[in-house]
Amino acid sequence: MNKILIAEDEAPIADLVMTALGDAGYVCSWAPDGEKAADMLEAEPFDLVLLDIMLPKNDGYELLEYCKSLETPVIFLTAKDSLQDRVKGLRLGAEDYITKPFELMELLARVETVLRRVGKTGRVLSLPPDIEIDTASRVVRKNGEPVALTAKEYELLLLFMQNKNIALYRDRIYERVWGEIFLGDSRTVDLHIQRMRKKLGLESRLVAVYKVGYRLEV
Amino acid sequence: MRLFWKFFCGMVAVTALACSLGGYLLIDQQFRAGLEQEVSALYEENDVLRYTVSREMEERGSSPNALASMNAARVSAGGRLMGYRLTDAEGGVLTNNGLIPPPEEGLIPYLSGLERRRGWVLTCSGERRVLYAASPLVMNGRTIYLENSRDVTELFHSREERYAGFRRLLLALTLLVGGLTLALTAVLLRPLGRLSRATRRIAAGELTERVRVDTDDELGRLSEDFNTMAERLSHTVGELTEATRRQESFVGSFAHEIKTPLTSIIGYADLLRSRPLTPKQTRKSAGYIFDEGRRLEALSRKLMDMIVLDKQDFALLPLPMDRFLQQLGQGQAPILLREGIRLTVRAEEAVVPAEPDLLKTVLLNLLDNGRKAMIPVAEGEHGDLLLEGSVEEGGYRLRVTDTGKGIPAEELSRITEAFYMVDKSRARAQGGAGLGLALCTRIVELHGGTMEIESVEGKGTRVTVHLKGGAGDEAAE
Repeated sequence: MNKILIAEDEAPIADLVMTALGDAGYVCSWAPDGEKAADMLEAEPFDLVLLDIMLPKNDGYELLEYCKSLETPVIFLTAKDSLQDRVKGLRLGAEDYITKPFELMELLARVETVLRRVGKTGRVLSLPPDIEIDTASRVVRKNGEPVALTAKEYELLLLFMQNKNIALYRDRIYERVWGEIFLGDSRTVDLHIQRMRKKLGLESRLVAVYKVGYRLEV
Repeated sequence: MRLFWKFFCGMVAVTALACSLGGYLLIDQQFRAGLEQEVSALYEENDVLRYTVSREMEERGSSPNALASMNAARVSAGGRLMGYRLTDAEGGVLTNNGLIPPPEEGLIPYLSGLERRRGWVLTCSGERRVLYAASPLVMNGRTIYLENSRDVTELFHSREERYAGFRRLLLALTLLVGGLTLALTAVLLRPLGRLSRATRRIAAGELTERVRVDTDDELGRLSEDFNTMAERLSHTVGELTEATRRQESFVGSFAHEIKTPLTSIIGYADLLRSRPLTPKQTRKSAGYIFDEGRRLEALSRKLMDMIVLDKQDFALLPLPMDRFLQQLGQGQAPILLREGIRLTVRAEEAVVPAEPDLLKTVLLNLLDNGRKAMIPVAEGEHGDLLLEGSVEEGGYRLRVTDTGKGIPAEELSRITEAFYMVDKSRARAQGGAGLGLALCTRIVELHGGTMEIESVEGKGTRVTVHLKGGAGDEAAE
């Protein structure tokens, strides 16, 4: 399990992020200010830090320097959304830059991407009892046998794996996987999900949620 | 071409021109005087010779033979042998005593209008310069001419020598003047160089750059003017930068203040709609959404207040301050007492023009700040809040003093900025948006008054509002 430190001075937001990441199987700790965050980073190693920039005591930029010296990857989670701020954050060496307000699905996806990129997560995701996904080679196996999926089907599967037990809305699915604004035609999403479900034999576990979308139950 | 070189070349050229012209004229004048002397000496000799020759001819007659025999005759004057010759009107030589240098023919054709008078001519052959004079001699009705000469090569020679000497002098003089001009120009134009460098540095953004002034001539004054201008410029730029910083900080803070509650609201709503949650989690999420929504509402209300303030035209009414403050105190004291804060109101009697609702907003904000700043001193007792109103010269003074935690000195100048909070998490926890003092400042400004904040960390804070127009000059307002 990956350990994630959340440095955020707003208790409601920290609580929200911890709930979302906790549900996704991460172990989270919360630091309400920069000083506390530095202390916690010193005390134990973390796989990832979600860092607010406008923190009391030591701000996010200072903490980023500290994290770099510890070789801990950092994702900025901030309300500063100007282009200059984004560029500055990324130039300073943050792995990603998420602006508030953000969506939990997006946060989870980015956290997972960063962890995978820095090699802190296993290359193989598994959906017990029979399905395994090798994210490095993009090969999906069922009972050890490779299953041929199209690129979109693979992305869909990955999205559901990252959001287990969460009802995903059709429009959000479409926007994440197709990268376009959802214009109300849900048949594309339904078609792809049905084909993917059939190929992997997930009919009983990847269920439709009435008027919402789909949920992967584990 | 740089001004320095223009100045330098101009000075040198003018000096050289003036010197050479003057020198030339001087030498030329000397030469002319010398030549005139030579001519008059020549004429004197000519006179002597004429006298001698005419006597001789009276003795010997003026036949060609007689003239020829005079060839050998030597005429001496002052112990020196003088050469002469006699010529006719066509230039033929009648007699020559051998001491006259060439040319061999007579000079009469070169002289005009000589019938009665004498004349002179200058001849040159090679280096040699010879002055000839001729005068008519009337013998037995026939005019012959007596010519004599003087060698003036030396005169010309000395003129050349003077020219050469003067040229050397001129060269030396020019070099000297050049050197002096160089130094002088450098000294005179140094302020210009400094000015130019300073201008370039200011143009490059170093607004604190100033020019050293060490002369009180025009350049010195220009430098002083330049410094004054740079001062004004840097002041204006400073003000603009400060205004921009404030604006940027306002926009940035505003975005932050809006986005933070929005993040919670959107996030928890997302959580509620997409996940199976326990009843406890559901309540907590809804609670967060409610709280953050209220926070947004409070923020928007205060912002609206500020915007409305800028737009609204309101009338200042005569307000009896003692009654107003006592009423306000009576309303607030029970609420404050519940938190263990004792509110004391001392108000002097006066009627001040003010907008009651706005002034109430100011005082409530200040009292609220005092309340939030309180640190627990003892069980059940938080501290004292003092609300004072007193008449002062030309107006009325309102003062709110608390015994709270105080404000760090380095933060004092910024606390009236919108969204500025000394202790953000504490301010948020107490429901603050960082707009209170900004709003107060604005309202006090609209009343034509001023607001001062003094604070000692750990001891407390005192906010003083000066309002214009007390009871005395109420009519004037």
